[in-house]
Amino acid sequence: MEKLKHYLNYYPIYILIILIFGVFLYWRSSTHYLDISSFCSISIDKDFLRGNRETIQKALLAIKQNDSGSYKLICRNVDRIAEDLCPNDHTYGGPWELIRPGCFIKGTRIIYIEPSPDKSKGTILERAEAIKSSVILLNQYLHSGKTP
Amino acid sequence: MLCNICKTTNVIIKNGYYFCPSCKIFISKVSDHPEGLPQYFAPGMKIPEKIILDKPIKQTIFNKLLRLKYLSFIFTFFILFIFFRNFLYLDIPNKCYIVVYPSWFELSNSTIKKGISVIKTVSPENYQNLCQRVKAINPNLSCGGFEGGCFEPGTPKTIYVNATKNLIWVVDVIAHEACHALQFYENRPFDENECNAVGVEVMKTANGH
Repeated sequence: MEKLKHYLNYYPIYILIILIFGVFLYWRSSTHYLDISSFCSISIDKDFLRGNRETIQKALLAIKQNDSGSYKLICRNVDRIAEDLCPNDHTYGGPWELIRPGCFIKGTRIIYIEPSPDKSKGTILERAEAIKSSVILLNQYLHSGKTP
Repeated sequence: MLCNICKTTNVIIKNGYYFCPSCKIFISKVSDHPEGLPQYFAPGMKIPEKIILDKPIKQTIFNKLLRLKYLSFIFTFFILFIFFRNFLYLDIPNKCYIVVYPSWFELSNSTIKKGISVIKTVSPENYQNLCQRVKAINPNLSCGGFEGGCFEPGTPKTIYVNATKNLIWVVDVIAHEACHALQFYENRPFDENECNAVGVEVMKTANGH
């Protein structure tokens, strides 16, 4: 009892720790896709001008509900989804020829998907498909003997 | 000998005083109570307040120097950590050491470092060329303009890569400028088409689609 009393004297420290953890969790959930029950945390880089992080988070939720196999692959193999273009070719100083709607980068666990500010259900489903197709290719690449 | 304040931690002797590590206070001089303080720690016995001295350790010059030594060690470690994390690409097995200068546009050089790693994975011959010809990457604005790159013959061991947003593009620019470094090394005229082809080839290989 005396020991417990002694430890309770430090309550401001406990409150501070809980506050710091709360702020960390808030920051993490606003910049990441977090699914604690599946031990899944994926950083999402939003394109500030043309992007939308929320639709990526919803796309990941849709994948979780409809395709658990792909969802497991995503949680295991991907650590970042970035809204950015996938250039594939260009002439010197010329415009980019793009891969649409997404790609992954070899040697990393990053998936790029085309930025879109649209919040419609169609966009969410399109993004889900883009993430799924990229993660399948990423998984094949990782299992072809190469290391990220 | 339990501390009479917290009654959980044993007091220790520090600088000639009884000291409670848990309460972090000094309790009486040892010389005043050479037999210890059993009479004050009997259960239920109230301790006279004057016995609690709470006197800080007298700081000698040696103490201060010691503290300074620890602080300088921590500071040096911190500076080294920042340097290695942001400004140095190290690949000891392949003897590849590239300094990435600080940039006015980006707080972190992580994209450039990641770009070098991608080149290592997807194009070993270009990685070897990069490691052999280039000793520094400058991410500040140069003759290549925004989101571009540049090679200056005056500083052949340094390439300018002002591209920090799109990793695939960073990979392309680094490979392109490293190709110019090779052309310079081999005393060949700069051929943009050749280096453009090298950059695009690395970019296409890095892209998974």
